[in-house]
Amino acid sequence: MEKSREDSVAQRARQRRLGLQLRQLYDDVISEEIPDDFLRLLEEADKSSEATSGRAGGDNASSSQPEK
Amino acid sequence: MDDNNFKRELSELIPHLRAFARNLCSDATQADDLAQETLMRAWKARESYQEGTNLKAWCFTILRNTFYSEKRRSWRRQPLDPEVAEATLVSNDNPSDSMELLALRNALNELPDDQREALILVGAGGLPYEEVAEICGCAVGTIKSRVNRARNALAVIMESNSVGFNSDSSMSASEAFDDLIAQADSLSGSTPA
Repeated sequence: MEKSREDSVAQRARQRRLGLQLRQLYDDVISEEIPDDFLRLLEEADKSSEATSGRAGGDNASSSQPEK
Repeated sequence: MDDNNFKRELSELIPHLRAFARNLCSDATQADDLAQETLMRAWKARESYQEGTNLKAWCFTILRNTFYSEKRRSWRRQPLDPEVAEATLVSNDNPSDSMELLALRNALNELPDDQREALILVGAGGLPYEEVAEICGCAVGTIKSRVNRARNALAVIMESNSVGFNSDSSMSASEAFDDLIAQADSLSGSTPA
């Protein structure tokens, strides 16, 4: 009886530790700097959708109307 | 939501997309590839996003679907090359600590997909069960039981793998020590004198 009680306490301790390590795996990535590619991709996607939809709302919306 | 707001909110989620992807994929390059693909899909689908709903859950759903739908792009189930896997972890001051995290990543890879994603989202990402259920398209109770099974399976895997480490490294000693401390801590509060 005593033994199994100790086991389950040890098991809970290990589970707690596992939980902390899981968080660390995730949080380590969160705290990394975002690679430039990501923001560049998003900027390019935004620009190309402005160009095709023609709703740039900015100063150079008039000139670029694709032929296709 | 107008494009500029959407873009801003989407870019704020990039760290989370990377973190979720990193824990699903076996290496960092593939993970970023998946995260970028998700970013592009989210952008293209922006018209279908309903303002006021949870954008993070919406993006995670896209990421998850992308992960499962494009198996051929080898995002999944790569055998873990220890060197690559180690490089995947950010550099860490404590070598035994990063060894343990490496062991944990390996163990995660051994879990069935449904259990792994549930554990990552709940246990690592800290998302509420309700959100995870929404992302995975199943009931809250299902997620709870997957997380429980994943935790238990992970403990068993870690346990059996650590036997291999015991013979040669100082890590096992410190791990055993930590375990003893934790055990002592929790025992001291609860056992009758």
